[in-house]
Amino acid sequence: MEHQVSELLINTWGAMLTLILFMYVALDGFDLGVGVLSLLEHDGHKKSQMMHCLSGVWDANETWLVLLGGTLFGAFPLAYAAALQSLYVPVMLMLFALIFRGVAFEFCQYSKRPALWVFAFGTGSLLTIIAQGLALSGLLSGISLTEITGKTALFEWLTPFSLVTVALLITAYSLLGATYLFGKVDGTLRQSAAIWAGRSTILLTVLLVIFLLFGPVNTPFVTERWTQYPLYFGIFVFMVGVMFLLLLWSLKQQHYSSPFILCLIALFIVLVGLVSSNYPYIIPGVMTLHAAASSTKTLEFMLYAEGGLLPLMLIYNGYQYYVLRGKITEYH
Amino acid sequence: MVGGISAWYMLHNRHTLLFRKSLGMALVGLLLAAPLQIVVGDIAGLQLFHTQPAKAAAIEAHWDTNPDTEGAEWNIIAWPDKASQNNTWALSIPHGLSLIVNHSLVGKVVGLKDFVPADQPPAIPLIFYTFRVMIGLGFAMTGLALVSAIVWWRRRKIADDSILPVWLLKCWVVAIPMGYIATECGWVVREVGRQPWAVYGLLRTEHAVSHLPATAVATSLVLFVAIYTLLLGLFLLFARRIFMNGPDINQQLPMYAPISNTNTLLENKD
Repeated sequence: MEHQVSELLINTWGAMLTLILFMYVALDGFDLGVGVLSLLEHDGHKKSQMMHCLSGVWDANETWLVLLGGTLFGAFPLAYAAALQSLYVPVMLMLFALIFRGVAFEFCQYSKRPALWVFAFGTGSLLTIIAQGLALSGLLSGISLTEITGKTALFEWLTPFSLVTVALLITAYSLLGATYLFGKVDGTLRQSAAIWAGRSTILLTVLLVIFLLFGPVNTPFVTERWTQYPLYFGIFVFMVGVMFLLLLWSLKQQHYSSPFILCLIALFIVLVGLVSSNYPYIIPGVMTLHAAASSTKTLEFMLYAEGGLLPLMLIYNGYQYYVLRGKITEYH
Repeated sequence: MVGGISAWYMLHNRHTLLFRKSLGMALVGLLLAAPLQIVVGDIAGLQLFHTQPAKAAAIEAHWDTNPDTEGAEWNIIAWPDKASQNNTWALSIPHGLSLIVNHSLVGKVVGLKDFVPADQPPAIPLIFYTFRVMIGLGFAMTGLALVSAIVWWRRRKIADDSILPVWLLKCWVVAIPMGYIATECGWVVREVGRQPWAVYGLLRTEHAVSHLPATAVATSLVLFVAIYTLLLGLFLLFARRIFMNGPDINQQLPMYAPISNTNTLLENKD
């Protein structure tokens, strides 16, 4: 009985962690993506316009990253310790990038050279995504975590697979950013957003296929699982494909908010697919949720505290987007 | 901070009526918060003597545990020396520490010598003096609030913009960094005082370190220091620019874009 309760708790926390990860990637994903796209835009005025449509929401989006780290630390301390130690370089890179990106929002309005800070915002976003890609590939390939008790190889996450993952994340975040912009702005910027969204959808499809082919090299048990339940995973692939086709169609139809929502649905499907491919591992092939989890008492206590807080955060976040709904249009 | 900046503008006769309001609000806030802070500090301090006695003893440079029937003396200033396990010199109030800890003239207070030197915090003078700086600043700010409140009350009938005398306004400007310094000092007491433990009594800091190479951690530390120094410099530069310009009283409330762009605004879809 006791054992069953703790298994239930561990799985609940695994699910919560997945939910928090989804919220983070969905929300900070689009504002990091807009940052990367701002590097592609040449027109200074439009660059700052892109920044403005994030100014009310970006910091709330980043809270989910804090919550992700905190939850991992509280519920799965072993995974936290192992991952942050092996991924020290990418995580530090991400922090430095986020620092510059964060202050850029504030300093931009007081600096005599705002273009410099808009650039810091763009590069900060790009570096953050690169760092996250390196960290993700490090986690998925597991190799960098096997020697945590001995001498840690600081740069073991740097592999061909990690480059694919980085490219994948940059494209995915850009797609989120482009579809968000598409629903938020007007005029020529909106046309650019449509082009960016279309291109990144196609590129993302290619990268996802490469990613899926690469994956088995690192984690044979995932391949085994996919061949065991081809229908189950086939449905995932099919649904993502349908979402992408719908996305291209709704971009063409000039719908405002549906491209972004379709992206979020596709992201959710991919995330559920990723989790169900690797369950019960928290670090694929190396550490299971069970092995990484805190004591039952800690998990229970956290469930009352954080479980109570999570709905409030969701409501507040939702209200924020409700208040800041609508479009930003150029004022003539 | 708010009060100090308001005082600075009032000293320079800029937007005096506006900043009189914000100084008043800051004063009310400080009047409520400062005494409360002292009460909370007293409660937390007492708790500290129970949960982390070594830290508490280091804060007060209290070496020898006194018997229950005698009072422990409170060192106002002293120079604690860990090597000789004693204070080189001290100026102290008899029974003072028992009064603080037990709220009575007598009572046992555990001293540092109850712990083997390896379990005592390092840099005891640092802990001792940062604590005193923190407490001193706290009382200074409370005093500032009380004096300002009295003067304000006496002059309340004066419609003139000089509600507070120049010297008092200057005190407010001087007090701007006090809150920050007090916070940092408190942080030093907290972190250094807990050593050699990461989790008091359970996990030593040396056992809590990661397996990362020292060079990796050193590199990131240097980067953090460099980046935050740079950003602090920029912050001060921009803050100066903002304060010199002063507030734009005629500015309209922003509709959507909080960042300096006047030609975007929100339009709902409908």
